[in-house]
Amino acid sequence: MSRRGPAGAAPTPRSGNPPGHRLILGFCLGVLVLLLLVEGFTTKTVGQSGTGNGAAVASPIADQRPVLEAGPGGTLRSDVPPFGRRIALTFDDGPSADWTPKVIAVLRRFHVPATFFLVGSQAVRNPGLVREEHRDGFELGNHSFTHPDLAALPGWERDEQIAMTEAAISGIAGVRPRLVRPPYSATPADALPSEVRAWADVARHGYAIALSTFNTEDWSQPGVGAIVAAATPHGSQGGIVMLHDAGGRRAQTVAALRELIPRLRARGFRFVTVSQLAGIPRWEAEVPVSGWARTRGELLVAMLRIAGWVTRALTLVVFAITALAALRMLFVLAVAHLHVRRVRRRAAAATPFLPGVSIVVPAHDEAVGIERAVHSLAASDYPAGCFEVIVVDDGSSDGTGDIVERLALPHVRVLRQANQGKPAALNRGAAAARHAFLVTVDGDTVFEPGTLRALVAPFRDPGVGAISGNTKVGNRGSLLGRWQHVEYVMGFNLDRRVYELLDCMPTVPGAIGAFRRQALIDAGGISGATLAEDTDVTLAIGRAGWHVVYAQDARAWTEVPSTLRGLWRQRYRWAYGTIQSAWKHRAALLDPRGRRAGRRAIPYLALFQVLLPLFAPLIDLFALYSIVFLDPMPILAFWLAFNGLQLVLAWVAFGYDGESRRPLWTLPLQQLLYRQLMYLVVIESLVTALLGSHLAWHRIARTGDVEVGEGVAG
Amino acid sequence: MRLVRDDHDGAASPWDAAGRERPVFLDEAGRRHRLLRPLGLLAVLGAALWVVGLGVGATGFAGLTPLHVVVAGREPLHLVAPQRRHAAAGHPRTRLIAERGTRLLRPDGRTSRPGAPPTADRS
Repeated sequence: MSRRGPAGAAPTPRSGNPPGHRLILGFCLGVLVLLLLVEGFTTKTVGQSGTGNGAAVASPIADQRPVLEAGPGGTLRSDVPPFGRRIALTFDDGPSADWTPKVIAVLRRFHVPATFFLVGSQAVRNPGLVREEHRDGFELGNHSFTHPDLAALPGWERDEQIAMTEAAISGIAGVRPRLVRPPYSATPADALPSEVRAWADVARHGYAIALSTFNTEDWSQPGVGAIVAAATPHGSQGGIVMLHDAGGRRAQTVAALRELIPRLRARGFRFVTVSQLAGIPRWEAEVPVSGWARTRGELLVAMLRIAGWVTRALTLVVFAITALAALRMLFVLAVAHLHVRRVRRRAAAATPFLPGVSIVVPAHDEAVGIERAVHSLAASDYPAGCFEVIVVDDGSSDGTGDIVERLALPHVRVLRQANQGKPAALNRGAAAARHAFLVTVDGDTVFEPGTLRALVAPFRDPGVGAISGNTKVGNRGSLLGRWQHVEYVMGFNLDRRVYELLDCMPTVPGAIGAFRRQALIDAGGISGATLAEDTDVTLAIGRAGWHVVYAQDARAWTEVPSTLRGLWRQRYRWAYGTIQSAWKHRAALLDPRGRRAGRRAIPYLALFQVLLPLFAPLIDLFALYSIVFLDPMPILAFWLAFNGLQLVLAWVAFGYDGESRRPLWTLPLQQLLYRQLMYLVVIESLVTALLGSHLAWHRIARTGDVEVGEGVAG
Repeated sequence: MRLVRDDHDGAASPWDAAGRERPVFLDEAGRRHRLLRPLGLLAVLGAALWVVGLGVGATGFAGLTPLHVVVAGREPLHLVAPQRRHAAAGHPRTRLIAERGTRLLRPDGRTSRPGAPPTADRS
């Protein structure tokens, strides 16, 4: 995180973004949400394997055979002939990549036909297995799309469960299965009246309801012997044997098949498909489809597979960025601790260093706060005559320059120019400066008496070209102010320590920064090519071979935006300016001089200030996805862990800064609004950069509400 | 007190930057915008196609023609003969079924669908 000066210098003619890009982004996000919903509903809501365990009330179809069609008055009836010594093996819930091939292998080995009742969502995920089953002459049946209890669904959803499975099988195998096995069904005697009504409703559309004669309950893994026993007829009448090739571990089913088939053959039973058993011609049981109907099925399968691929790809991205964010937090914690120890050692060995300093204050319409700011600068605990204050009035219309002049303070100069923007004002002030060290301060920022002394002290090291001060939020009374306060304390007391230790400080904030004149000369001055001139010049100084460090005791109190609109504007400019600066200095990545500033700062900015926020919405989207479709407990645990880690970081940062930890209660709330605002800003900025639109400074309304910390002059 | 009004201090800037440089990314001609707009529309088109494909694929399977369960032994003729009659009468749905039935039936009444069942029980 960085803190830059708010002194908007230019008016804001337009943001320049074509209005269409938000519509495009919104539409694509809406489709992404729909895609996730479809993927979730079609895969994550699949019911567990299971069968009825006997009806508590008398089944209305107890005396029927297990292949039924719609009867009069919303009932089911069976007109199929006696089964004789024929057995139809059936397999529900598949296809499964793990177990269906094993089942098929056994059936092939014994040359046994069978009927597979497919779950539509499973078929979409394993189309190759469906084709293989069909090609090998196995019969295909419909077992709903997500394996729900059909009796518990409203009519339209029941129809959709059957229709989508039919569409999927049509698209994959080119047939519409007429046989439907309702999930959680067993034998006709086990059917509840409500189930019969629901199944009759399905049968009305021309489907045949295929229940079972022998319910093996193999899904509960009762043991190979129990499965074989349950599938074996007691007399000479065969029937339909219900087994499962998916929905769990099916090793017992596969083993039972190997025993069951020879045993039944030895007793004179013959294996057939369900349609053969019921006397239904094969072309009626698997109605061929072609033309548009098949294309429609293929479309459904293709769209669902796209949803699956996209979801898997996004899942990988989410895991990667989550891991990256967590690693960064741990890294920051460790490195910041090292920095604190280094600073303590440095402070113990320090000798006073009080060079001549020129303080440059660029100001455009800062009438509200300029008096207090200049007063605080003039009251610095610094040898008189060793510092001057240059206020550059950048075309103010509110009398900012006049206010400063009326103060009539010693060592304070006012320069006036037509409104040319903050970088131009800084250049003007720097050019007029008399001293070799420059301090830049925003017009709404208040110094503590010891700030100047602490800020320039690191210049005693001749290799230091620029120094970042510690910006404090002066208006932290509101929730928005507290959030920004937490953000500032963490950014300045953790991130900047890491930057210094890695020698890759990306930004000396506009609110409070110090520069060696020679470093500025080497950097080519302060450019107006980006909206984050502070990041731009800091990267340039780093690339020129100077060290940029952080002075934690150099505190400056500033006013942060107090409205969401103001915050949006400020952060939009920061984010866009950061992207501009990183792009402008992209050549530093391959700098043959091997400056750390380029090699480390730019990838860091790109990764953690652009890419991470850019993909952050996915984390929120997947959190919702997990809560709706998966077990919400892991995501809740993850959320708690993430917030816990964040809280630890904040706790440590507040400790380093000597701040009260009371505002930390607002931290979890940040996840609900503030974070979303921040990533929307980055997305918007990136779009602006891609489109090449003109983005000007946005003026942020000032109230002058800056509370300086206890014991500090204001 | 020393107040210096210094509108024209005349100090020469020691560096090139004036603070009025051309903004990074600015594309005044709108070339990038023209290039990206089709890409954006392509993304919208792709997303819309997916939605339409999903909608079209998931709907429209409204059910099958009624099933006539028959006693084994006289199943094919029982089913096909009336359908042929209906087809002759011109009902498009029954005509389709009749044609399909004719195509799929052997003279002995067994199905001739490809893949009809190579794994049939040989016991």
